[in-house]
Amino acid sequence: MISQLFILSPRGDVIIKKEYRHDVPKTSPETFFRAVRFWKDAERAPAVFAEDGVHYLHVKANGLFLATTTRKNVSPSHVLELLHRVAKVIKDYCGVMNEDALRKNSVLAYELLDEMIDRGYAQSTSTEALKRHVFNEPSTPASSATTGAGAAAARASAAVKRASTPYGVFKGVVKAGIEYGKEAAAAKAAPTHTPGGTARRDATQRSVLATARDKARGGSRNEIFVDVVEKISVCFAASGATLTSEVDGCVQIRNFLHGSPEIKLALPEDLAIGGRDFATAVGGDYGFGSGGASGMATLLDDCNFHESADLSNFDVDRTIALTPPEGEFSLMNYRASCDFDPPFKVRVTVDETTPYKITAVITIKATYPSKCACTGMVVKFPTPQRAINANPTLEPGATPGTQHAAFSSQDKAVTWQFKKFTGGAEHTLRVNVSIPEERLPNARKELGPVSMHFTIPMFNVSRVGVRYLQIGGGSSGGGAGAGAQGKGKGPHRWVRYVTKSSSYVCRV
Amino acid sequence: MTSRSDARYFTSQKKGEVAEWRDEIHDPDRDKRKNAVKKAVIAAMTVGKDVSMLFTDVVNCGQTDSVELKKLVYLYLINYAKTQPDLAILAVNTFVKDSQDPNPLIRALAVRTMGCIRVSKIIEYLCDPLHKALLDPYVRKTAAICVAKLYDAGPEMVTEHGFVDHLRELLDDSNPMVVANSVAALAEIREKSCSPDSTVGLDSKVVHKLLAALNECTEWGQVFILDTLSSYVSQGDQGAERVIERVLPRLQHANCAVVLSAVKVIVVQLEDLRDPARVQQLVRKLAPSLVTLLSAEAEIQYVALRNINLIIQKYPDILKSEVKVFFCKYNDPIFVKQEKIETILATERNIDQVLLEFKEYSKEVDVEFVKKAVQAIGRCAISIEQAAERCISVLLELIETKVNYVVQESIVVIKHIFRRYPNQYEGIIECLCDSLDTLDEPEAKSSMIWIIGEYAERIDNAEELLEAFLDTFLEETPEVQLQLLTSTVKLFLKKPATGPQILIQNVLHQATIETDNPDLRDRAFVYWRLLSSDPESAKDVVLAMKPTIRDDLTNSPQTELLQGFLRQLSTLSSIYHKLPPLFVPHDPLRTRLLYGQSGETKNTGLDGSLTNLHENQEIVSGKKANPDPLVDLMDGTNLKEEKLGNSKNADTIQLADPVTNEFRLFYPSESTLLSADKGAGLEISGVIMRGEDNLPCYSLKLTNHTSVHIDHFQFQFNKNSFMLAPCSQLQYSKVAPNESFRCLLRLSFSGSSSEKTASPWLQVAVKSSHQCGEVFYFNDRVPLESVLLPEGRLEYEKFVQLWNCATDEYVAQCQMSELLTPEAVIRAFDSLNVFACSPASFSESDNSSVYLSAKAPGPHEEQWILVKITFTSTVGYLEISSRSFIKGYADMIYNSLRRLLLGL
Repeated sequence: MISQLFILSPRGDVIIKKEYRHDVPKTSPETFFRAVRFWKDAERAPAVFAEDGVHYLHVKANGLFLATTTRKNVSPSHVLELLHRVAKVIKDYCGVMNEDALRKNSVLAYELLDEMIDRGYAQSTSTEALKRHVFNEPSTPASSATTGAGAAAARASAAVKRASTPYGVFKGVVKAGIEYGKEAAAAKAAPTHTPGGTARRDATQRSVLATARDKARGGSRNEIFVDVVEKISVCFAASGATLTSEVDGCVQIRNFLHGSPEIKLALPEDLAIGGRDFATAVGGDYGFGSGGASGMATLLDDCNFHESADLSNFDVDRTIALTPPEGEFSLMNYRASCDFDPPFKVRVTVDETTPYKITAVITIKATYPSKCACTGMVVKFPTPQRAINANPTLEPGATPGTQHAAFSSQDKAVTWQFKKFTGGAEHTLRVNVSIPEERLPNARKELGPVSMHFTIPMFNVSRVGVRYLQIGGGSSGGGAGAGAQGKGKGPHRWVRYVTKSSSYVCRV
Repeated sequence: MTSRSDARYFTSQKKGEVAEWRDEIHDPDRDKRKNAVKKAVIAAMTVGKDVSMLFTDVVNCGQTDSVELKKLVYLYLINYAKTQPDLAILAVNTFVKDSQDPNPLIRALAVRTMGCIRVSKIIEYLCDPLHKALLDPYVRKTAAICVAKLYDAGPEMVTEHGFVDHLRELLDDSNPMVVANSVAALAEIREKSCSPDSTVGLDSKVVHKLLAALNECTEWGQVFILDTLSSYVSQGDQGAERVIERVLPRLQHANCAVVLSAVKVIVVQLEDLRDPARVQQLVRKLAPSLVTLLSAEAEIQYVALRNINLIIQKYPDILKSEVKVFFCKYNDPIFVKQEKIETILATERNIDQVLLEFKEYSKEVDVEFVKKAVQAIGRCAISIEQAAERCISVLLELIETKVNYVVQESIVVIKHIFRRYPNQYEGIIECLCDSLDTLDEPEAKSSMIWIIGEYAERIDNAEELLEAFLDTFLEETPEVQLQLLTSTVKLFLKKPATGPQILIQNVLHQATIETDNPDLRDRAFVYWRLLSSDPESAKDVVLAMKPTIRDDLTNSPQTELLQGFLRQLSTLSSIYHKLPPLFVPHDPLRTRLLYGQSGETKNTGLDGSLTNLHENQEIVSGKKANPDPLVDLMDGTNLKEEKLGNSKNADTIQLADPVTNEFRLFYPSESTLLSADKGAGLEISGVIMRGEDNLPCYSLKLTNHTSVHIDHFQFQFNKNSFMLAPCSQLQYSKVAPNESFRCLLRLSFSGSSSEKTASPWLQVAVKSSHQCGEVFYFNDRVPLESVLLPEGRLEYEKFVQLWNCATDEYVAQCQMSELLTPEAVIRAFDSLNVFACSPASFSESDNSSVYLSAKAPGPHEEQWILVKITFTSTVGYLEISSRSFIKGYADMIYNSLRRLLLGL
């Protein structure tokens, strides 16, 4: 029951604006932008606020504001979820969601909005279902059709750059085959600059419509990506004890399969969903929730599934059957707070005995297997506001060029970066902070916390894994069926794992 | 390549571009045609260029078999139909044809677009296609929504054609989308209709249908259904149990909206369950889903937290063991962090963990967040007696940090703790006094002063401390002043020595003579009188035992209000923690549901934040501790006005145009100017209005009560402010005996003017042939809006300039109808030669004000009339201020506007 929907650029220009009910002033985008920009004390405006009797609900996607207005007492989760969906569909169609792409495809965007929302009511928001009703074709912002040495180089460098951003993890990095696809993994695990790397980058930025068009030309990739993404939040106490640890996982699928076949995805058989008697949800009897039973290796607190998932066999053998819609969607979201081994152990020791100086030693140890490696790790260590200077010293044996630490007097923080952090390795950093007085009374309080940003491909902390992925529901068999990744024949299956930090801190 | 040609659309200033497009639109080549229309649409929608002159050309393009082109044309049509209603009729043919197209997509498109075009002429043609459209699934789902659109434009048509019954049948539809949209449409109609139950009653049969459809529906459909279900009052245990059972699986949906709506249905139904064990069991099932919502996007987390906050007030046990999930992550956006702090529910078991966490938060950089953390520590102390000591030691640690805002907030919190546990922790007062000099926030100051007054007998240098504050008495905020006054009195009563006596005289003198705050003065006089007449009873009054404050969560007295909120879970109401009548304009159904007959709970609804510590204390501890009764008083009156406004709304709604539901102006009505007995048998009634040539004219009705014909009328006007004069006469008109004759007397601005001040009065002399040359006089009040000149438009800069040097001013507030929006006002006034001018840059104004300018006829140079209408945030009020250069106009325009807008 929304009245308007508009998309604003980061500078507040209206890119798309759709009226549904005509009961809200025309100037609402300006009102909205001003409110968001000048929200009290530079705080970020909450997702829902009211201004002059008009309610504004917004989300941010890729720097753009997607906002709606209403005068009704709507369900905010409904509207916000819808906005996220709108962003996703536009991304599916245009390849990327940014100002440029939207301006180029404004007519397409309006058409999509027309089909997705009618009189402020959400209609169909699945990329798949929309295809039947949408006729405009997207025009891609980048010159993806043009091939030239320069363009390729630019793209490669873009891919490298992107690899360090949290969202770009898959774009150029590695394809993680689990044990079965060994040769494939070897071939694909090569670093970014191989043709494989660029091809995959295109895959993540391409429009779902491209599949149909390429198919017509006979040159499309018939493939499916299954990504198990886990975001972990860990908080260590100063003593090194783990205060909180939590995994937010998600089985993400990007589907470019031809002919929308049915697929079957198998999760570990010993997977247990505790806390909730899952059985009632599927229509069975109370009593499944004996999650604590012995032998249960993987314990999830809670999970939910995409609407296309058929869970009739899930209780029996933990398989999910589905006919995946095209484009990107998350098949399953799960949450686990059971004790898992944090991938990094962090300890900080502080020495305040020397006058005019505080010495902190940060030790980070990677606990994951040595065949995995974390890329682009950044550690931040804030120093007291009144610190004059801080002098970080790397460990004696550090290979030059593999890690780097520096103090920024502007942020009053030390940043410690790694190119690569191999499993099992341990690194330390000694930071000498110079302070203006002999003793700073609350120096210790103002130190830290140490926060870490990292991405570990081919690794996940909960043991949620894909046992097999079967396409076509056909006879190609279960078990290691997914290993039958035909050479050029049949669809390509990519199963990838990644662990990212969400909030990984160690208090001092 | 493409990018370059596309870029051209955005630089639209090329001459002849539109003509070029027009040629292209007529091009035989379809692709070219399509591109041209596309360009026009982009120009209109993205760049904001006016391409309405292409209307006919584009509409003609609509008759094509290319769906893509058709969609473009329709997009264009929706954009311009409103401004070109006459031309829009041209499109009707296309619509009617398209609604019979074999392709369901096109049929649906036609129905959808027709519903969107808000031109009444098109609506007339909508019914037939709509009937047919309700036959095919994709078209059906579009048509279902269209019924709601039609209801908006013409409710009687919906009833007439039986569309509601149609919709109800659609609830049985095999297609889930159709069911979903029918539910949505029915819900909307139900909300709007005056007799909701007769239209779409939610009986157990309908509920059964909805429950059955729930499993099949699309995710959004599920949300519609669940939202509808939540207003269903089940019949007893069994019904509730059945609903809950069917809804429970929805908790596992990936769509957060579905989950929250399901939670809402369950919570509402739980009210009807009698078995507390069963309730507990069901409530526990909500917990995992609620926690899972906290892994969603930040915006959703925010919504979830606000809702969880309400749920745990009713069912505090539900997330007891999960307190960790509410601990802030360092990368949470600030609005999520703040909500998390509010939601953390400390218990005896987890208090140590929670306190450690709060302490950690109080080290963060964000000031607001830190304050919340400190307040949360205070809340723990107040709610858990066993933990109070630990909380206090944490607070003392915080005070030692000497971080200014932490110290101040801690002192405020400690004051609350003192009130909860009187005479237990005053040992720490000494530490507090150390940081006295750093206090600069009024709340912290008054808290500190309260502590000093309350424990004056135990603080050796209380006198000195207060004296330090008194030096700056006059500069303090009223809050601090009041507290200083009271604390000094307390000090005096506890230590009636000479020092305090001087102090008290000083403060009473300052409060009664040197301030003009009536509240402060009154309180000072009360104390003065008390102290001078009977110091003993003053002691009884001022130092009386105070009731201890309570924790607001566990003993929440406002269960009725909370129940109201729980019924509003997963709506905006749950975000603002306010009940809908306070922020949704006229929502008669909801209001009734919530308040029943009594309307008793309204008072509590004013400040919905249940968790706000201070509010509750104020309520419990009564007037005395309230730092600023004045504010309180004001709040009270606001409430009354608001209520008044609401009840008035019910009447004013009726005044709106029932068909378009838009705001309508109230034009002046005819009045009797000359009665028959005064006019010797000739009766005249009439009004001055705006004629067809945009000049004023007199609409007159002449009634002949004599027995002979009357003719050869002659009208003369006296000098008047507007220089009005009749520019023709009704010489040849003839009125037969006992008959009435209507005519228009055209007026011009060619008369002579009266002087100096403007007055609305017009003196008219009338003479007719048959009445022995007798002349009759009458007075009429000229409605200002009828005589305003068309050249009254002003630039904003000029407006501001004139506004500032205008000499006559009139300001007043009045009530208004809900339909009155700035847009409606601007639109309505334009035709009256009252023009809106909008500021060039938005920083100079807020859009709740409308600036209007007009020019009155008259001899003077400066006949400008300037008006500013402000829509106040209090619902239902507007403020009109008008200015002019000649005395009288400001008043006159105000009266005109008031009548036009409000019919008064």
